[in-house]
Amino acid sequence: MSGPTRSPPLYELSHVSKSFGERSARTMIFDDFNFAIAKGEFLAIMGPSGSGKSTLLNLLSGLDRPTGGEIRFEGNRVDNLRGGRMARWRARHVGIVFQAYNLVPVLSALQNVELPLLLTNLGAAKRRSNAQLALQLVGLADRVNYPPRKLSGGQQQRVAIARAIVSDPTVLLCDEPTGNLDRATANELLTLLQQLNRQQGKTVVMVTHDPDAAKYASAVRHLDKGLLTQVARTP
Amino acid sequence: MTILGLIRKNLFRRKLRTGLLLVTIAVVFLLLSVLASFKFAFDVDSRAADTRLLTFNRISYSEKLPIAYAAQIAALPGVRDVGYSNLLLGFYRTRANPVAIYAIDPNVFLTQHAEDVLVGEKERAAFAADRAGVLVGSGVAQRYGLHVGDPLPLSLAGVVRSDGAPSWRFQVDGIYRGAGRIEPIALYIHDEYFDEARVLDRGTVDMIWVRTKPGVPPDQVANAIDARFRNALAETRTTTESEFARAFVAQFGNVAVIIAAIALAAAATVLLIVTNTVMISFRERIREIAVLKALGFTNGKLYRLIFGETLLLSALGGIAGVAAGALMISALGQSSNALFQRMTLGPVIPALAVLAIFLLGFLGGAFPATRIASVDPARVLARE
Repeated sequence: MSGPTRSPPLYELSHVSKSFGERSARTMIFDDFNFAIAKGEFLAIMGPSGSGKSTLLNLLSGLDRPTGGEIRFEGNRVDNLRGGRMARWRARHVGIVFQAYNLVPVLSALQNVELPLLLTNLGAAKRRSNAQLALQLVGLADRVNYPPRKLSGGQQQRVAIARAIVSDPTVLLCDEPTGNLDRATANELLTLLQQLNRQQGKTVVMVTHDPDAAKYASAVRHLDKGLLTQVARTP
Repeated sequence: MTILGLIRKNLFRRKLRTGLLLVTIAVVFLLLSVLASFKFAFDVDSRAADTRLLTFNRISYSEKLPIAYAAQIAALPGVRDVGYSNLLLGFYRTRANPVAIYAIDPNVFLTQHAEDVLVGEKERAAFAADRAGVLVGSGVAQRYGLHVGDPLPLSLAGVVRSDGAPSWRFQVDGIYRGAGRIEPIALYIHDEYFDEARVLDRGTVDMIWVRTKPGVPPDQVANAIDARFRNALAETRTTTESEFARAFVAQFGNVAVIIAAIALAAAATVLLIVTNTVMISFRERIREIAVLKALGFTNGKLYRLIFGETLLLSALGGIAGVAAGALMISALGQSSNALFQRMTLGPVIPALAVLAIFLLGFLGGAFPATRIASVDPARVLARE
């Protein structure tokens, strides 16, 4: 893969501000925040609690809206998308992996992975085969009919990753994806994310507390009090 | 997996709760079906004629009219023929076997009611010729195993015989059927025979039946009859048979109101139960809803899931309830009670049930659906 910094930016955040609360109790998270993420990058964002990591991820996924400024995705503004248009943009371009997996307990692994495909025009057979392929990609081809409660934490997170990639999104946004896993399982997961980045060309943005996890990324940025204070690169 | 599959999985994620809810809905639909059928059974008999007039005492139905009025009415212009009847409560063998008895003038009355009292010519002639004869409704004949030629001992409530005998002896001369599917349960005896044998109220009748000549407005004849007996000892009130039937049913108006109130209370209760249960389920799944939103599900798609769930729930419960109601109505129809025999599911109750299923589905899901838009996935998923 060519150097990610030479690619045109996938995300471009210009003069973004974000605050919570009303006037007297307003908490400013970002103020005149400028940031770009290149296409094909595997970016780890580290920082202490309350630094704005998750807020940044929410802004990137469209789950939250900036108070001011612009967010562009592939050159197009997305911060002003509303309701159904925002949901459709997210379904098309963004795959999200949560720390707590967030699988639907009454559905099998395969059915969980099929969920995002219900938003597409694919037929039932195609949805099923795509979901099977995604599970195969994360190494769970033999667990397709297992409900989440019968899977280990690492396996559940793999299902969550399969769900995030099944509709072939442009970017994977991962919020502490290894936060609930032991070291060995975490390393397996991070290797999987690295493979998705390197082999499938997926842009990955990962928020983490864990310096060992950050080592798997192609770039690491530290966020503190809404400011990017340090940039580091893995060898 | 399909959207319907997802709805089904969500609905049955807590099988006991959903099962109990389905039973509740089914019981309410069963109740509503049976109550609706019961109410329809009260409705006016559509076959009640507008050309047949009924004359009775102006004071009340229980007051008598002199039998001599029949001849005076027959002499009025526009009158085709005049019959009369006394309605009696009788008992076959024991007081556990009550029967309704009409004491009539056989020739005119049976002619006037030829479309409602279906009996063979031979049997009708035998009855007309036999003062102690009785025409038995097929429902009574079936119930007590009566056949033509059988003796039929009856005691009559509130009627004392002049010879002091406790009961009346009749003979079954014929068995008649009604025009509808209901097996008739009344008996017809000769009023002349009855009147001669009783001590009190001789020469009186409960009701005079009048048919008008073709082309003569019934109201005009009714007014003429009532005018004829104005200021007489027994003033009359004359109405068409259909009006009479409506007035008779109106006496049970409070029953209809009670039925409607019970049905409304049951429907409101089940609506609250469904709404509450769906709300509980919604709160339990708020995180999943946030995840679905994060995956790109629009509010519209989520509304479909919620309404799909409540519609599927009400459809399953409603269909089961109406099916059980149909079985119960059918079982009630086998009884000897005329009202129960008249009960039927018909096309109206299933149509109303479909409407109720949709209403319950939409109203039950409406409140949870209004909360969908307010689910903020960023806030909900932040609580990890």
